[in-house]
Amino acid sequence: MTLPNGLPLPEPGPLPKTALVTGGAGALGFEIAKVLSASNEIALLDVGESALNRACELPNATGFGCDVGDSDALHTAYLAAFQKLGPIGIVVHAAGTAPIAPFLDTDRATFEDAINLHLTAGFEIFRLAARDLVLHGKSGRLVAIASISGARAGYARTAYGTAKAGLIHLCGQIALELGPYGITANAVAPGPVDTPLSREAHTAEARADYQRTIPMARYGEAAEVARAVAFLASAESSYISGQTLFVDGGYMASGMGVTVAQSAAAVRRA
Amino acid sequence: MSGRMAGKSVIVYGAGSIGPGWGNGKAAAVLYARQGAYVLCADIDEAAAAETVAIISREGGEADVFVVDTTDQAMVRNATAQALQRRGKVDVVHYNVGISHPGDLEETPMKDWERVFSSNLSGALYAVKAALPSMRERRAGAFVFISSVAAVASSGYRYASYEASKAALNRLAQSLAVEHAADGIRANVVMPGLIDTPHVAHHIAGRVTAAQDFAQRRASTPPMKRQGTARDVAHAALFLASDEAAYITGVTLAVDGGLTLLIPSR
Repeated sequence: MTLPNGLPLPEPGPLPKTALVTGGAGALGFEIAKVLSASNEIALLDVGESALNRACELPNATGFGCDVGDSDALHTAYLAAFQKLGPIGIVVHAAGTAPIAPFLDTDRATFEDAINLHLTAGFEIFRLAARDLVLHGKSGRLVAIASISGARAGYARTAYGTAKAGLIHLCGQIALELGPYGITANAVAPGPVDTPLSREAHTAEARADYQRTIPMARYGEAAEVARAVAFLASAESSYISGQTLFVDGGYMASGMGVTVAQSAAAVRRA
Repeated sequence: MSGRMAGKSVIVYGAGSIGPGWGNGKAAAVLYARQGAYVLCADIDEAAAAETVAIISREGGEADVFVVDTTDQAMVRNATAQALQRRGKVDVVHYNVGISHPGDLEETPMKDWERVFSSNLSGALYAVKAALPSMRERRAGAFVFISSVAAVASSGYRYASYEASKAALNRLAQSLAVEHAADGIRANVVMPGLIDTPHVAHHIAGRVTAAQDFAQRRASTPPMKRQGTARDVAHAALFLASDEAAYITGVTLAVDGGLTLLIPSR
């Protein structure tokens, strides 16, 4: 078709079978890399030795040690990954920490660190990869690991939730501008996931609270989040862009009254 | 049979295409079957359902035709009973029935409004009611409802009954998801955007403008600058229906080339 400026619409190119995962040595990031490694060559980016060590566990992965929140390190690691794999078809930004602090106790450094690692580093790695995809005429799949905290307020999620909300909007922004190139950008927004990070960060009270507010009454597993990422990273999701896919056991669909529904189900079964 | 839906028993309501080519229901039914599922292809039009079944059979899949008017609760019950009889279970209910009547709100005859709600919404609830007992017993089941971005935005057509019924369908799925999560049952929605299907050609194209202008206009609207295909919608449904989405319930996933990014009411 012809665009309003008289130029033809660029024909989306093929989707390269290469994937880069930031935070790829973490519990969630590695699970994502593992699922993607079934049909893609993988670059794992993570701090220090961890990326190299964990890359050895996959047959077709290479680790690139880098602090994802450090701009120079991220550029260097991306260029090294590009040199080895060529244009990166799938970029998953899974690097993250869990800064949990009430609003009144969140200092500026904590806030800025969260924005830097979750949001700014995501912007940077997506932009680096997308520029090369456009240059080489390839399609692409950009997937950001966001969170339910990026869409709904939660206690002590000022830094984390705000950074994740930014990431969700970033995907929409990219989707709008890169749609014509066949590059999609979507967020996967997990609810609480059972990982070492959440085991450490969630108090017993917080865990009980989640059980009460999640209709499925359980935490998600890293593999369940990874499969959603894999779908949005596949050739079959080419018309899905700018979306946030919640992997949350029904949390976003519910509100008050979840315990009532859970009790009712238990009564009916009894 | 292997595949992402191996061993599953699926009912697709609206499994036939209204005209030549691929409608969303037909594409979904064929995709489920390709991935190893048994598919009961339910449709009000026997010949249309038979065409879908013929494709599945030709590919070595398993499917049956079942004639259903989803506004008739007894017929929907019979369809469910038929699937239970054939496979002893219903793993997935895929509701793809949707009709529209054009017209301004003020002039819309109440019988048109009720007909749309009856097909698009009440029929979905009949399908839910019929399948729930056996799903609850097995503590497993997934519903996929095919809605529309019309549920959240005005698309330039005047068909408020369609928009309102699809919005209600979105929430029906979420209510179902919350009420029955504890029973091991999931419910999700696919919201297609501007998709190039025989349904669109049949219901809308003729009365808006010449077909080619119409297609060009639709293609130029979403950020991706093309219309979607029934295959795009079917793949999203397949993902949500499969065990890959075990922790996903109550979501509305737009398959719209970014169309809903352009509207305020996301």
